[in-house]
Amino acid sequence: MSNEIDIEYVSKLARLKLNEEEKKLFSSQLNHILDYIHQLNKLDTENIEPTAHVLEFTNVFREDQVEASINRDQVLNNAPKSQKGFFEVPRIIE
Amino acid sequence: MTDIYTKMEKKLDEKGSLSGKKVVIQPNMSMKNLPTEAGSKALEGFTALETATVINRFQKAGGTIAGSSRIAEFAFGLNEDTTASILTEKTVDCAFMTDTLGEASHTAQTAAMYGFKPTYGIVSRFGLIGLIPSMETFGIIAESTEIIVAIMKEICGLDNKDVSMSDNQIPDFSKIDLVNHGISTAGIPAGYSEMLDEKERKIFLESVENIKSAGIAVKEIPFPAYRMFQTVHFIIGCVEASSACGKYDSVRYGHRAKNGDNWNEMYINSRKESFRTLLKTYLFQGAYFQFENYESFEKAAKVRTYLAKETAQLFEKVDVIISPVKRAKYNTGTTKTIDAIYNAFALTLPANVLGCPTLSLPITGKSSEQNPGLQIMGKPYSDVALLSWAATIL
Repeated sequence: MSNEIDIEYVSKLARLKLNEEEKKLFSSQLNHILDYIHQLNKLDTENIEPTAHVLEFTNVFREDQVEASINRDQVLNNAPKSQKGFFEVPRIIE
Repeated sequence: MTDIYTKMEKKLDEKGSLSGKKVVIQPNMSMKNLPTEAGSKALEGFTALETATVINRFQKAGGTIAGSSRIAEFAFGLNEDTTASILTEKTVDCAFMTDTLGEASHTAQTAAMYGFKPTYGIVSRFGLIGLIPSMETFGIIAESTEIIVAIMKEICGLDNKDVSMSDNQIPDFSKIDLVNHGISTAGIPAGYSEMLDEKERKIFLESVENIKSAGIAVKEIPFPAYRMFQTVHFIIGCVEASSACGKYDSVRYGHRAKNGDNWNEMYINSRKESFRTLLKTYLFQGAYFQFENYESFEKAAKVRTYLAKETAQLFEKVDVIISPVKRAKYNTGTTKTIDAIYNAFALTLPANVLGCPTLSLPITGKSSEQNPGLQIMGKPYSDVALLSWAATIL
């Protein structure tokens, strides 16, 4: 099966800039996996709920108490650029 | 050894049940104030701000973190992973490993040791940097099941810093019982052995004979849904990875590209320079299923439910499921494409889809490349039974 995939659009959604080689590779790999999906589609899942986690979980709560937080300087030390206690980034609006 | 290992020598001198035990961890396991780059340029220069719960608990019980291995990007697969080599040098007692596709089982086979992947949700993942939150667990590789049990006793259990932990009773690892473990029957899903070549099948069946001689009934069981695991893992995995990697925007940490006149360009260029091709493929496909073909993602999530139900039915007939681990034609250490990785881990990834515990057994005297290894998978929360039973065989 051949699927029309808009590579440019999907790479935008993925926030990835791809070179020509990657575009070719990724679309052929995606077509490959789409072939496998036919196998899943053969299975009737009409009355089956989708699972996010296979085992059961409930929310974990802890007491709402003020605790020491991570030191700001330490956090900023990991940033590629920071200034006066803030993360520094290029302008956001043109 | 420096090219496979970063020594840490961070001794806390705590006395406890794990005193003297040395572990090699992976660089995606956070230790406060130490580099934690998770094998990715997207975390280049990142210093952990907190210590992972498993590391904390291990150290509090007296364990020593001997060093950190080299890993694939975000520990997904085993390309360039050095854990098995480090274990083979015998300078550490055990290794901690991220298990997303069955990496612990594969590494254990290579090192001829035991590889244990606990039930999903019984060990905290706080401070462990991963890729597929609903499938990855923390794993242990060691020479004996005793070491694994001793570590599990200390590290498993609820953690209010991890919101994805089990509601269920957390297994009690002090209850190891070599007699009344409740495992007497094992099933080999039909189709597993067909994936092996003739020589591999022969070695696998010999290994199975060893288990039979330990007084367990082994039978082949039909499991037609087996082939669906790979596709389900793939689709759910890439969508979760795409979501999990959204945070790598080069604002707060990691590599930032030099060119980029505005925020958006900075984000896109940094990701282009940071992620390797394998991860880009995966994230690309994840975005596709998340936004363009959500129907297939939902289908995969439904089939996941179906597979969990089918497997639960198998566990009504047998106590454990036995399978090979690997095939010689796929070398997990060098596989770089997404298809090759999924083929290489095809035999082990069902446990990640299902959250089931697994134990990979060392098959002594048969460490050749043709040895497909042997793994037992138990139903969720049967961790203690698995380890009890394993201590009685081989």
